[in-house]
Amino acid sequence: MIATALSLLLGLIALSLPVAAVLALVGYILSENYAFFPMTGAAGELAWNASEDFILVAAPMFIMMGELMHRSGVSGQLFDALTPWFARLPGRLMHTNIASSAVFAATSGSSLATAATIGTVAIPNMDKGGYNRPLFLGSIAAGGTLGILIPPSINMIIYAVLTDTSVTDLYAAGFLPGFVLAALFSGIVLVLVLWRPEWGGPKIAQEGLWRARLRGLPQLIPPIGLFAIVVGSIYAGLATPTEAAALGLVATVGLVAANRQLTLGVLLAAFEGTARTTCMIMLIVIAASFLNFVMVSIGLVQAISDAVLGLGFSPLGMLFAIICFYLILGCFMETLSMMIATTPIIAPVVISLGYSPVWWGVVFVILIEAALITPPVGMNLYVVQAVRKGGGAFSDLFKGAAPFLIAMMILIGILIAFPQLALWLPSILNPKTGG
Amino acid sequence: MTDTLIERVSRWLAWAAGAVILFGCALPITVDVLSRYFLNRSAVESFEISGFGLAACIGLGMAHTVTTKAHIRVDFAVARLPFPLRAACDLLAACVLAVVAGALAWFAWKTAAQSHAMGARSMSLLRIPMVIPQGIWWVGLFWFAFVAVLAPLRAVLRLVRGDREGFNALVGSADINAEIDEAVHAAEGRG
Repeated sequence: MIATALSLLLGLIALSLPVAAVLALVGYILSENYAFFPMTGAAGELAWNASEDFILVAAPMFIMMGELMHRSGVSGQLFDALTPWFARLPGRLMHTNIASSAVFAATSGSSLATAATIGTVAIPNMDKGGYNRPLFLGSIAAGGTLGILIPPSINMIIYAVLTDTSVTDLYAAGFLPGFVLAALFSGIVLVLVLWRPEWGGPKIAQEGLWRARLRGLPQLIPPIGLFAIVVGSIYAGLATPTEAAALGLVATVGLVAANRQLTLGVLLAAFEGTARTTCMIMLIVIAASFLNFVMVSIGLVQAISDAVLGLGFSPLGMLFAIICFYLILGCFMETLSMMIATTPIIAPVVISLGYSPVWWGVVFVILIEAALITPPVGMNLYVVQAVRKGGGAFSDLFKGAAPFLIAMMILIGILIAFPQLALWLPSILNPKTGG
Repeated sequence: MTDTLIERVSRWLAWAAGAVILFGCALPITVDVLSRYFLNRSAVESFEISGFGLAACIGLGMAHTVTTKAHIRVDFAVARLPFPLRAACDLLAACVLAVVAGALAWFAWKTAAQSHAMGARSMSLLRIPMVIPQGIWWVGLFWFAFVAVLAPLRAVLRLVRGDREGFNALVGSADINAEIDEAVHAAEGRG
């Protein structure tokens, strides 16, 4: 049964069928062959329940926030405000890239949006010269991935729905690892630039540095304000994660309007983009919820867990195997579909090994970040390459992203050694379920 | 002329789907959060309305994912095949999507019809007849199924006419470029 399911799943995906259709089809075939009664009777109800899930309502609102945020002008102001703070640090603007990605990530739930937005303002500075191009581009592609680890995060919402985990706990758990990862990125840039000083970029005028630093601070108010609305309102007990997303979207519309960018064209483009992405994701979610239902009903999830435990590996060994599986799969598969397609199968296994679903959620999101910057299918690499107007070899991106991949592996190592890095904050904020 | 009409209607519906998210989900929820904070009670049943809003968005916007080829396919291997094999894969993918879309529309119809037959109403104080949100959801999904079934048929017609480019535009593996262009375009649209 396990072999049939897996070979069907992988075979049909390799045939380049749409991932959503593959999940639905595999669910149907499994139900026809292994179920005692036809499962399709529940399909309509399952589809409806997934379609009106209140937690999932947050996803399109974050998507629309991302669509609008590009146009708010926030990112350019943010970049300029942070630049003087890193003027003395070897690597200069590369640290600005990472820091502005981290701050932007705190208002954005998407990695592509973060990379595209920061890349657009940062790359003109690279072209002025003095930087090692691969490393500079890598810092943008990698920095962008922070979008889904630092809350809010679209991926965490979907993971929460698929595994019945609390979004609030996941957000809290992603917070510290997100900033540690940003620090690790910066650390790697620092080490590389100390090793090869010519990579570090031209000096920035030292005079009046403090004045420039202080003058930029007010520019940080919009992103920090949005973060306070979207994340702060959850932990202040004012709003659920979905409600916080609604507040964030309304505030973003206000911000775009305040910058005089709110036109009918902008709004319609945001509507269309939101509908397209939401529906693409939701068809996969609907199909996955049907497949999940069938798999649980015919005992496949249990069988997989038993088979994996029966292998006799230690939990840690098994965890390493799963991490390697995702690193390889992530090279070839688009991340959202990879996440939705595999979570119903893999997450129960990891949990049955004794790991916390919240902790695995964070490790999983880091693996997804790694998938975003590993070729041949690494969407953040493509986005940064596309933003780079002058062109240039795509291999620059691979080379530049590689060091940051090491930072991600270091963070996963830290999380395995010290799970508290992720679980401490949720346990404080939500003693009942956290950790 | 029918070509452009299908795409145009799907785009209009996608605009409506997006508008539902802003005006049917985000606004009512915001009103509720504010009124709960200041007045200590909910003003509108946003919990329920926004769920129906998401369902409406999914129904109405789904056809647009077919006309813009938004569905994810793992096609980096297939993209390297010679045209006849690749075209076969593209057609197969379009047909499978059409079958799934048809099934989804059928199950949605049964769900809505059953709600109607039983006179089911929502759980909240609003007691909305379930057939209304489920009906909107179904109408959208029906259009989705219609467009998805038409796609491989139109593609075959174009192939018969020797119009390979048109075939690719309709069901060919969507190049990632489209999605990237979109992200970049949005970022540069910033003033």
